[in-house]
Amino acid sequence: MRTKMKKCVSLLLTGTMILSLSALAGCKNEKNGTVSVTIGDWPTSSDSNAKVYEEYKNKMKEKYPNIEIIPDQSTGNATSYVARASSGQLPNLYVTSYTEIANAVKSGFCADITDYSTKFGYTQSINPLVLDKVTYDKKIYGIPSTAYALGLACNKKMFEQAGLVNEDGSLQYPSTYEEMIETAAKIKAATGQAGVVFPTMNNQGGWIFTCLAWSYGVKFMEQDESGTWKATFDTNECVQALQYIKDLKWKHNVLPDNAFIDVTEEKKLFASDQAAMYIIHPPERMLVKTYNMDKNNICFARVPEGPAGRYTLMGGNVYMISPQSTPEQIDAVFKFLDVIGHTPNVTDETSENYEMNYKHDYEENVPVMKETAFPLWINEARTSVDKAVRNKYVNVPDENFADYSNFEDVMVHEEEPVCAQELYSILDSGIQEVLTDSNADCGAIVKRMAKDFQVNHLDKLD
Amino acid sequence: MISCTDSVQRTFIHKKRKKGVGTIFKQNITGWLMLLPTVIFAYFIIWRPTFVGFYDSLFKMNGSALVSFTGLKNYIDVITDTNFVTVLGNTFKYTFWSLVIGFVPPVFIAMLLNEVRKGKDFFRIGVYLPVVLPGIAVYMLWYYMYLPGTSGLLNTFLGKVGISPYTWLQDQNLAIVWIIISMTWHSMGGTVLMYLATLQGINRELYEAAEIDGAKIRHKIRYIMLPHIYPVALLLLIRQIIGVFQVMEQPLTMTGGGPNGATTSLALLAYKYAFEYYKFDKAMATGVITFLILCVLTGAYLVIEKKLND
Amino acid sequence: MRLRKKKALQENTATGIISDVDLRSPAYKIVYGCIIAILIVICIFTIFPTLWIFMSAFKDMKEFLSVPPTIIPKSFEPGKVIEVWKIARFGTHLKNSAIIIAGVLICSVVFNGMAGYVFSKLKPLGSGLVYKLIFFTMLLPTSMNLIPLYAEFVKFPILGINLTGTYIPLWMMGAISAFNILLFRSFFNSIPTSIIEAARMDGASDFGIFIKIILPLSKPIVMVVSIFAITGAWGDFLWPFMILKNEMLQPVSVMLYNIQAQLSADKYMVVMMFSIVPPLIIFLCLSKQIMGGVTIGGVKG
Repeated sequence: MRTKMKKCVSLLLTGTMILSLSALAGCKNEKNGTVSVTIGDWPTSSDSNAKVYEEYKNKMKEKYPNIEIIPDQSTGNATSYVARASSGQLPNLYVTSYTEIANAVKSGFCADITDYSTKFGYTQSINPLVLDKVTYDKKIYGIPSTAYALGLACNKKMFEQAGLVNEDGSLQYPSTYEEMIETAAKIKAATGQAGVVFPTMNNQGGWIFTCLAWSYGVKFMEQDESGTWKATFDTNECVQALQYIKDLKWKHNVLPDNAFIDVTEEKKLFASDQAAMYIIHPPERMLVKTYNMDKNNICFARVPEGPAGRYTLMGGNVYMISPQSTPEQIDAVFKFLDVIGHTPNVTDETSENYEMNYKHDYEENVPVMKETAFPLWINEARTSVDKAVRNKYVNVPDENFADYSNFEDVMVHEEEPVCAQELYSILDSGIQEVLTDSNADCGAIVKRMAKDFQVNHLDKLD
Repeated sequence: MISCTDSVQRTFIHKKRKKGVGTIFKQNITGWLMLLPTVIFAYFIIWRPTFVGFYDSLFKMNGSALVSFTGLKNYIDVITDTNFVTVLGNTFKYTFWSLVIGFVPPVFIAMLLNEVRKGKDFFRIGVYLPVVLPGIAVYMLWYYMYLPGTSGLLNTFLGKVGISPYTWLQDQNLAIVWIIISMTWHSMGGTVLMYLATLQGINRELYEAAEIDGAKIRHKIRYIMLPHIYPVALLLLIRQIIGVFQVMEQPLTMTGGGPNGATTSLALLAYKYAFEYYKFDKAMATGVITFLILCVLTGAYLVIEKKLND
Repeated sequence: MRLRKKKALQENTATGIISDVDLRSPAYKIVYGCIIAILIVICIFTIFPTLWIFMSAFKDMKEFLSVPPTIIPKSFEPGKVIEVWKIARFGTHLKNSAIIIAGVLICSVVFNGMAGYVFSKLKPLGSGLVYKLIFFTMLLPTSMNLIPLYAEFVKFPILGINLTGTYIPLWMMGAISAFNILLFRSFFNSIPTSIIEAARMDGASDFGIFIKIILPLSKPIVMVVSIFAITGAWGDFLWPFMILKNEMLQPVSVMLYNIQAQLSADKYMVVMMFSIVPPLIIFLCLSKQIMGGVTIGGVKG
C-alpha cells in the first residue's frame, strides 16, 4: 500500500516538474536574433477568418524569417483584458474599441507609439478626425483599424412589410427622432414586432443615449477655469431625451418586451426580424456571420435628427501595443501590420494581402460596402487602393447604404472627455428605470443621475 | 516527504513504549509534514494574494501601478458613493432570500428522499441533476426561462393557464428573488446530497429503540434527525451566507446589475470598479469591506455555535 | 439477527423514519403517497429545464426563434449536431477538461484529505491556528485577490516562472479548498479515536494509519468530494479563461463562452447540450456509488 502511494506521489511530482520545465522553455524565445511577437484577437479555428490569418502568418514567415508570430486566441473579455494588462501579459498587438481607449491610456495599458507611427507614415495618412481618437497629450497610442460613424440600421424586409417603401424602391427612413416613432409604430402595426430597439445595459445604453441627447441639445459636462469638472445635464433637454425613451415604451409601445438589451441582443433581434431599427455603426459582420441574416436585407440610414441637430458618434476598433513590448517587438508588429495590408504605404504585395480580407468577406456574404462614409485613410495612394478593392468585392446594392453615406448634415461629436464609461453606466440605470417603471419621473431621474455622476465620479477625479 | 515519515515511523516503533517529550515532538512532526502542502498552497493561493490586495487598497493606483499611499481614502470613496447603501442592502437581500428559499427546502427534500423505498435512484438523480450543468449553460437556460413578454418559456406556461406575461427579472422589487431561485435550482442538489448523506448515516437502531419507547414520527424528527443534521446544517448555513454574499456572476450575466441597480451586489460593484473603470484600488477596498462584513457574520456564527455546543 | 438487519439496510427498503410496520396503516400510506408526489413535482422542476435544452437543440432555426417558443419540438434537425461538434472541436476541449479535472480531483482528495485528517486526529501543536486561518479563507471575497493571484501565476514567487498557459494553477487551486477540508475533518471526527489508538499500540505510524486505516474507511467522503470536484472543475470558467490563451488547451467551459459570438442561437443550444452530456454520464455511472455509499457524521456498523 505504501509503495503504491509512493509511486503515485512521485509520479505526480515528476508530472508537475515536466510541466513547469516546459513552461520555462516557453519563456526562452528571445535568443539568437529571433523576435517573437504575440498577436491578440487571433481568430479561433471555428471562425472562418482563421484561414486568412493563417495565410498572413505564412506570408510573414516568408518575408521576415526572424520574426515569430505567436497567435493569441483569447477573445476580448473585460476580465481577462484587465487582469492580463495589469500583470504585463497583454499580447504585443491587441484590438480594442474606441470607447476603451481613454481608460487604457490613463491606466498605462498601451505603449506610446508616436515615433513609430510617424516613422511608418501612419500619422500623415490617417484621417485626422480618427487619429485624434488615439491621441492624448500629443502622443499617439494606437492605430485605428476601422472607423465608422453611428447610423441607423434598418431591416429592409420589415420596412417592406409595413409598406415603408418609396416609388423608386428605396426605404422611407425616418429623418428625425419624432419620425422614428411613427415609422416604428407602422412597423409594429404591420408585423407585430418591435419597431425599434434601444440598448440598456453593459454601458451600451448610455453610449447610444449620449448620441440621442446631443441631438436634443444636452451638454453632459464642462470644465471651469480652475480645472474642475461639473455635470451639466440636469436640464430640460436631458429630461426630454429620457422622456423620449420612456415614450417609446409606455406611450407608443414600439420597443421589445425585454428591457435588458445589449448590442449583441440587438443584433439577434434585428437579424431574426424581431426588431426593425437600431443605432449602430456598419457593416455589422456578425449579423450575417453569426445570425445568418441575408446581407441584402441590411440597410443603413443616417442617425435621426433631434431638435438641436443631427449628431453622431464615431465607433470602431483600434490596434494597440502592449506597454511591455520591446522596440524590436514594436517594429515587428508594424511589419505585421504592413504584411496584412493595414499600412499607408501600399505595395502590390500588401494590397494583395489586404484584398484577402475583403475576398473572405465577399465569399462569406458579409456586406462589403462600395464606399465608407468615413474614410480611415486620406493619402491618395491608399484611398485609391481601398476604392479599387471595394469596387472589386462590393456585394450589396448601393442604395442600401446611400442614405448613410450622405454625410452632409451630420455632425460628428466627440465622446465625452472624462469618465465616459462611468457616465454610460449611470445613464444605463436611468434608462432601465424608465423602461421598467411606467410611473418613473424623468425629471427626478435626470436630477439623480447628474448628482450621482458629480458626487461619485467627477468630484473624485484628481 | 515519504522517507521522512518512514524514518519517523521506524523511530516510533523503536521507542513506542516510551511516552514523553520525544513522542509528542514526533507526533507533531508527522502532523506538520502532512499539513505542509496545504499550508504552502494556502499561503500562495490565498493568504499572500489577499495580503497584497489589502495592501494595495491603501494606495492610489494607476492601472496596476501603486502611485501613492492614501490610507483609507479608497474606503471613504467607496462608502460615500451614493449607491453604496443600495448595493449593501441588495447584498443582504440576496442573503435573506437565499436563506428563505435555499436553506430549509434542501433539509425538507433530503428528509423526503430518505423515506423513499422504490425508485430511490431516480429521485436522487433527478434532484442532483442541475448541479452537473456548467454555470454558463445555467445562466443561458434561465435567461430563456425568464424572458419577458410572450417569448419567455415561463410566460408560455403562464399563458397556458391564462395568466398574462410577467416581467420577471425586470421587476425591480423581485428581480433578486428570481435570481436566487435560479441559483437555488442550480446548487440545491449538492446541499440535498449532504443532508441525505447525514441522514443515511444515522444508526437505525436509534429509531428502533425510540419506537420501542413509543416515539411518534415527530419525536423521531425532533430528537434523532435534527440533532444529527444540526452540525452539517450550521456548516452549510455559513457556507451559503458566504457564497451568496459574494454573488456576482449571476447578476452580471442575467441582469448586468439592473434594472436600475436593483440587483447590483457588493461583489458586482467590485467587479465593475476593476473591470469597467480599471480602478483596482477601489475594487480591492470593496473586497476588504465585504470581507469585514463576512467576518462579523461568521463571528456571530461561531459565538452561537459555541453557546449551543456548551 | 444483526446480519439480517444489515442485509435489509443494504437492500435499502427503509432508511427513514417511517418503519415498515408504520407503512401498513392507511394513514401512513397516504403520507408516503404525498411524499412521492412532492418529489415528483420537484423532479419535474429540476429535470424539465434540462430536458428543454436537449429538445431545443434539435429544433431548426425558425422554430427556435418562434414566439411563443414551442415546448415539444416540431422540427428535427440531427445533422446540426455533427456539424456543431466539428466546428466547436468538442473532442479536443473534452480531453482538456478531462486532464484538468483529473488533476483537480487528485489534488483535492490527497491534500484536502490529509489536512482534514491532521485537523481531526493528529492536531499537532499550533495546527489549531492554521485551521482557523483556513476557515477564514472561506470568507475572502474573490474580488480582493483575483488580480494579485493572477500576477502571481504570471511570475510565481521564488520560482520566478510563468505558470499561465499550463494547467498547474488550476490544479493548485484544487489543492486548497477550505470547504473540502472541513468536510474531511467532520467525517474523520466521526471515526472513533479508539481505532487509531489501537493501531498506535500496534506500532503503526500516524501516516501509516492514515493510509491503511483511515482512507479505506473514507470511501463515502472521497466520493462526495470527488463529485463536487468534478462538477466544480467542469463548470469552472473564469480561471481557465484567464490562464489558457491557446485555444487547443482550453476546456469545454471556455469554449462554451468563446463560441457564443460564432454560432447562431439554435446551434449554441447544441453546444450547451454537449456541455451537459459528459458530466451527466459520469454522474449516472457513479451515482450508485455516490448515492449508495454516502454517509457523513456516522460510520455504518
